[in-house]
Amino acid sequence: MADDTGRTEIGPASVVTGEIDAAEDVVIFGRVEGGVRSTAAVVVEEGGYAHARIAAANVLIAGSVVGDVRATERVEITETGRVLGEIATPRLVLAAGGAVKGRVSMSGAPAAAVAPAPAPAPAARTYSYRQPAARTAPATVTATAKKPAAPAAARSRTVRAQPVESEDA
Amino acid sequence: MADTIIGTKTRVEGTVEGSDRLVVCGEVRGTVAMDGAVLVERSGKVEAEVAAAEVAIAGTITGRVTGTTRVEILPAARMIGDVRTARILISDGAVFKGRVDMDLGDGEG
Repeated sequence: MADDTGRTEIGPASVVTGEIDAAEDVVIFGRVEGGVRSTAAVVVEEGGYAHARIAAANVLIAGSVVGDVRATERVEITETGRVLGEIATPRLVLAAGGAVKGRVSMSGAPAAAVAPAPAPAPAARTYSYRQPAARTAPATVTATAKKPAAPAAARSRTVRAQPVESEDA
Repeated sequence: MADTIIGTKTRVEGTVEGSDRLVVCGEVRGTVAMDGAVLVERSGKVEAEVAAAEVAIAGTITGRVTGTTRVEILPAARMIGDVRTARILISDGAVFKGRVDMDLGDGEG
């Protein structure tokens, strides 16, 4: 007994629906729907799926996530990782092949200076996410100025990432 | 066979289901429905309706427990709730408050 591994694991054949609240790592091989919070790390393994809000110090995604991801330290998306949702983190690592669809906001951190930037080629490309031209646009607004989202390094760096919706998987 | 482990510093509120073995070292509230075994460790606290093939309790469970093949209430366990199972073991030292409902039909052993 005493299988106390010091972490929580959701097995590949398990589904948790609801809230997971942890002060240790949470590793998801299976499926989670709802929310996952940890003061440590949340890992969505390859094959794992989380339809959930994820909030943790560190988040590593090798599986699929539908929902907002918030990290106080770092988010890493591996080549097999998929995220559909908003990502808020001071540091982000997105591997080539990893896919993100949603807003990424990196802010409030000394990250800029520390950024290790192992980010490969694709990250260098600027993805201009095209909104489906607001259908309900009030006719009164004449300003159709569609700026190519200038790299406004002003406040919080906000990047809109275009999905790399790759052909694999 | 893989396990689902709820760590000592984790609390799950909701439903846990599947066919992995479930080991609870932390806290679970809600519903647990596993095809295989559920083990509630000494540090584990479960406040849920639990259904599994086998349920072993070393920690605390408050709620109804159904173990289709067996239920074991180990020493130091604290079980409050009804148990429905084919076979049950209650160890010396365990605390159990509730009813036991065993199928008295054509006992299979």
